[in-house]
Amino acid sequence: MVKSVSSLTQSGVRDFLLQRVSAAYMAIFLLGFVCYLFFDPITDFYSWHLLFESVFIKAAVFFFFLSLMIHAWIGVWMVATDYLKDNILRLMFLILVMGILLVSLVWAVAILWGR
Amino acid sequence: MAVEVQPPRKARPVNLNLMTIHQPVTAVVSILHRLSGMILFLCIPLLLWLFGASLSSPDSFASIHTWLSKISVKFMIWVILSALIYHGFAGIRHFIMDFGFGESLKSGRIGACLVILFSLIFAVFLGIRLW
Repeated sequence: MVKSVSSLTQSGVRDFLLQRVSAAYMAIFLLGFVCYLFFDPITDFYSWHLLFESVFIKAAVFFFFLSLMIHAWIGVWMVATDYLKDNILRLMFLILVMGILLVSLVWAVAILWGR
Repeated sequence: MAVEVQPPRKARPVNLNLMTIHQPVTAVVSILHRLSGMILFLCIPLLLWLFGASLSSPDSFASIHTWLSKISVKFMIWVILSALIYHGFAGIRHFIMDFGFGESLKSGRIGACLVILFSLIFAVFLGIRLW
């Protein structure tokens, strides 16, 4: 069996499961966050800043961004393997996507812990 | 059981131009799921920029607040969040189908129509809320 070297886990079933798990986490996180803001609307900088001081919130937001990067990589990889038939072009595109995702993850960590 | 071998038909209609083929609603829902996903991927830097600026200082929080109040920016945010809403509903449909529901032709079509319906309703409500 030929395995795709650029897929996240080299296994379609594992990619599939990770895609579902990351989606479920993000959906639950976003619903919880929107509900929280709905019942306790934040309009000033200090309470917004205070909210992200909590280690619990920081970890939850970090896992959100980690899920986002995993989910986006698997999704973009699937779309790219379907539509970009030229190997060199697809590889270049996927390297660019991976670069954007890794920089984004570091950026998210810098926002959460680098202040 | 004897298999009837039919002679190959000549001059079969060949139509590979996707623009001239009527797409079923399930195909439309599927391609929009991909399209909305790509849009959301491209919005990750914008999300991080907004998140970082909102937390860096009271001044940048206030300038983000002012920027987000502009009508053109509000419209852009509405488009992005509508893509998120659509992607979410189409994703929930995937979850339901993973558990074996809505996989027949008829229920698949109903599910696809429900995704579009729920997305439209939520997008309209979001638009009213943002306004």
